[in-house]
Amino acid sequence: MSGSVAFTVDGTLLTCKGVIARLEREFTELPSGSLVRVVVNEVPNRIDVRAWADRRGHRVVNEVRRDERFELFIAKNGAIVTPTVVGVVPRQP
Amino acid sequence: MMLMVSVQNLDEAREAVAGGADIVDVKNLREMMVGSNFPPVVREVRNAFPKQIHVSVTLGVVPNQAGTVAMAVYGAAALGATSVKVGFVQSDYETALRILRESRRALDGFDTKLIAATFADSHLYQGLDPTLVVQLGKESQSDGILIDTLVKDGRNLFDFLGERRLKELVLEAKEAGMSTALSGALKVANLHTLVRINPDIVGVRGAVCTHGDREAGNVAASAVAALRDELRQRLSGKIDVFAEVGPAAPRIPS
Repeated sequence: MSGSVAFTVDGTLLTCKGVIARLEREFTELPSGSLVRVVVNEVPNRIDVRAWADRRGHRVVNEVRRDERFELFIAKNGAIVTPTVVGVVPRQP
Repeated sequence: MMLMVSVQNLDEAREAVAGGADIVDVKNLREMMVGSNFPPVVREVRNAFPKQIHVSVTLGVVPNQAGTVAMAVYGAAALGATSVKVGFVQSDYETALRILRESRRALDGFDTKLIAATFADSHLYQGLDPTLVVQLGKESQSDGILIDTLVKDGRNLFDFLGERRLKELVLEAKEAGMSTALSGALKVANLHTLVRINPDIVGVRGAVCTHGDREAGNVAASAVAALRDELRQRLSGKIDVFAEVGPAAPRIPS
């Protein structure tokens, strides 16, 4: 199964409310199985996002690093999807 | 992670911003070490910088008087503060909650964010359990939380609350949609732990003051820039803060 990215959460923007707070809000409204791209540029944010996805039962279906940025593709509620994004090579099982 | 520097006046605020601070936190050390500064000082600092430089106002440890605190919160908002911090020590939970709810109402129509604050060392003053701050923040619909310390005797945040507990509190607050800030005599030596906990904001003063002295010293741009650089190296992974505790997530190819 492949899926298009519903939207991107850009966690590289410096705001008081960090990326986890934004993901919580965005995922609440999202249909199950949706794919979201999350971009972060800080290592602890990358780790927090992965841990958050695990706790919430979502699935990190792919992750790529572009220079100082990490892009994580998260499927809501653990759906198995392959992101169809130009330039992104899906991780092999 | 944003860097917040506590300042007492415009000169210090300029130093903080020149050094790379994201937030200048206006306070008055002469009033309980974390007290409120005067409205003209807040106005002067706010007017000196564009909006992307956040100016927070600390009300310090507030009295158990909801009306008085709500009026002070309103004042901070009227002065254009990005956020206003309301801290509790000798308040019971219900009183603190009532004060925060009235503060929330006082901010109607303003963009100013409400930050609920507790102190990790409040047991020294028979005060409010600091770990209740997340629940307080949630129930009062605050925008964020802060955990700070009151004692300035060489001990710091981590002498009172451990990494694991702080991480739990930060995560819980983030998942509730709040911003998270940690402060309390933090130094470069604490950056490894801080980055692992990963609050949205880290607050400092002594670490960026001349001679490392938060009271007699003044905020220095060079010290702010040096701390900012140390922080950046840890956030980017150039300095691996997770090495000492084992891998926290799978490695990916560069």
